[in-house]
Amino acid sequence: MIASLPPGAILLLGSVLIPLLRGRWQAAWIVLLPALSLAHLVSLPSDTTIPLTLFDYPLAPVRIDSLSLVFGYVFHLAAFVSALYAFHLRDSTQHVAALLYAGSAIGAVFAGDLMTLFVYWEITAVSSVFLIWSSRTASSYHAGMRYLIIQVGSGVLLLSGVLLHFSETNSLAFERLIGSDGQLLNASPGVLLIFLAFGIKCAFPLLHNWLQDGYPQATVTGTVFLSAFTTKLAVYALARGFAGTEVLIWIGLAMTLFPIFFAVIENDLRRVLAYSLNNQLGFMVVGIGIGTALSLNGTVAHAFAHILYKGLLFMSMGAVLYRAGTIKASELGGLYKSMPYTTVFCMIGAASISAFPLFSGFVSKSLILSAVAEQHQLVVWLGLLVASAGVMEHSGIKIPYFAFFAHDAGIRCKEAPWNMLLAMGITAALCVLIGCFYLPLYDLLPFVTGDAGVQIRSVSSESTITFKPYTGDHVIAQFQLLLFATMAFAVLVRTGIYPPEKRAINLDTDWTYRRGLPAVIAIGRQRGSRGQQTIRGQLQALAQQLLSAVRSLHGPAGVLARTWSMGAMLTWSAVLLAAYLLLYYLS
Amino acid sequence: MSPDNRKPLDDPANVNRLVYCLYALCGLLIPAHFFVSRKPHFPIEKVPGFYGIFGFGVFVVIVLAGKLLRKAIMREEDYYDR
Repeated sequence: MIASLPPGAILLLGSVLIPLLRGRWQAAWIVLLPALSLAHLVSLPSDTTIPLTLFDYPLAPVRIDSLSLVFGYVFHLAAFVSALYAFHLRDSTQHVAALLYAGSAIGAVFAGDLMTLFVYWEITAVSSVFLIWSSRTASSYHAGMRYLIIQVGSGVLLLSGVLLHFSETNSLAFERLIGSDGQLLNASPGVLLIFLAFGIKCAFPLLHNWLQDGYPQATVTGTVFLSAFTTKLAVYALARGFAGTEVLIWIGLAMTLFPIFFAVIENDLRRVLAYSLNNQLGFMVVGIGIGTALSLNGTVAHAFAHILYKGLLFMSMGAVLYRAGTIKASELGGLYKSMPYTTVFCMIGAASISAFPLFSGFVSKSLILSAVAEQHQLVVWLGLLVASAGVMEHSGIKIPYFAFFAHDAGIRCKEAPWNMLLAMGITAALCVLIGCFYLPLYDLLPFVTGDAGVQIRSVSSESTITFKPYTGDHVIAQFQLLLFATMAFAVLVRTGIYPPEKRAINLDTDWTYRRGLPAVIAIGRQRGSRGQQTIRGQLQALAQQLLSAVRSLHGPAGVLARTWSMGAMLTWSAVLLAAYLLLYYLS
Repeated sequence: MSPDNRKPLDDPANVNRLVYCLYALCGLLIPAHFFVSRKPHFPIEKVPGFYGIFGFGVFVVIVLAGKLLRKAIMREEDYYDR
């Protein structure tokens, strides 16, 4: 019976039991579930299919291939370490939401048709919002609401796109959706809508702000879950449906660049990480846009490495928030004295995301940068180098420096709980292991160049990647870039040019729907009511005129309402009679 | 801060030592590139110390641009609550 379950179903079904369990039993269950689910996935043969029809149309709820498997594995890893990180938590709502969320994201990457994808897509949206609401503050409630509207909106666009696409092609299969020319302008309206739906979830520029708005409002443990699934599900969906779509190169490049300026001046360190997440997604999106086997494999490898080091960074900042009670850079500093292990784990995450040699980001990002260089895309390549220096600034230096070093803010707290340390330790170890021994990761990479161009290899065939990240040239170039950037930081701090952290917020595109649009609506209402008043005034004036005319005739002093004397009436009657007689006589 | 709670990094001299080590390391990295075989994709990579100069310059530009950006978009913490 278990064999007939789709991947992720164990998490979805198992989460139902969570409210029935108490204390450590509950905690043990949430850690056990991802492990059981991974064992289930590994045991499934690659030709597993589950027959299902919707209104006589065959669906494919399960498709196991080399692309879905990589994401399936890393999603399970993320679910496991995040659950371990949340082991101390006694909150059934959060545990249920987190595992439903993880399970549906896993289900989504194994969805073989667009309708199944849509269903999982919406479950991820609805379950994940509870991780934000579980902070149980007014601001998290509002942020969650905004997050939910945008996420469900993405689902509605996806469904509309799928239906349009189906009406054109009579197919629900989730395969490559973009034409062989890679031009989005030539795509059908249905495919465009699907692209937009993926783009919202992938936090494309101007569609991105739900991420920086929502994630920092989630709970300490919730943000760790959130950082892993939603956006990487979108990266997966883009890699499957839109590989080689040229516009993605430029969208991705913009994504790598604009967040770095916001991250420099952001005070909330979890929001800095949200900007950084956006920037990392940009590298992956560029890889999808380039569309060669090397670049697409780079995207997949980078997503794999990124889920781990980004999770690690969110875990370390979560631990700081949990123990120090704040995550504002302006209030932190010197925490390495109280939280030495967390400091080390955070620095491993920072080194990984900055792509220092021997850490995971180096072996994954190099694939994308080399693929761009191989295509001789100088502008894109330079842009990604700028973005790499930007990553060093906000994630490599700013996060660990302002939380754990800088000036001692005098906070003396306990080190993170054992389960958080264990989760961070495992993730940090994985970051270093992938950085040093990258071949197992490369062996998982799915894209190969075949007779029909770039394609996804079958599970049984072997990866053909021959890329070597550790050449002397490459290692020295990377050290130059990163260490000179660090030197720039030292110079700027010591000369007082580096901007101090301030208790403040920064406006982003969320301003448009939190302040801009409401203001426009208010003005519209005002104007509208003014217009309404004018029309109403004119109508009232008209009615007034009519009424006064009636009043002048029929009112107390009106001619037609006067009480006439008998004499006058007789006179008038006599006049009329005389006139009648006269007329009679004349005729 | 009590004296027994002081750590090596509380001493500015130690911080200076760390920073000078970093500068020295950077100084070594530029000639180091002459001793490895290189396969540049772009002519600009052949400029000695290109990556270092680029990393330093870009970092400074990002921080200065951030300072400018702050003037435009920074608001009080309770901006959205008012």
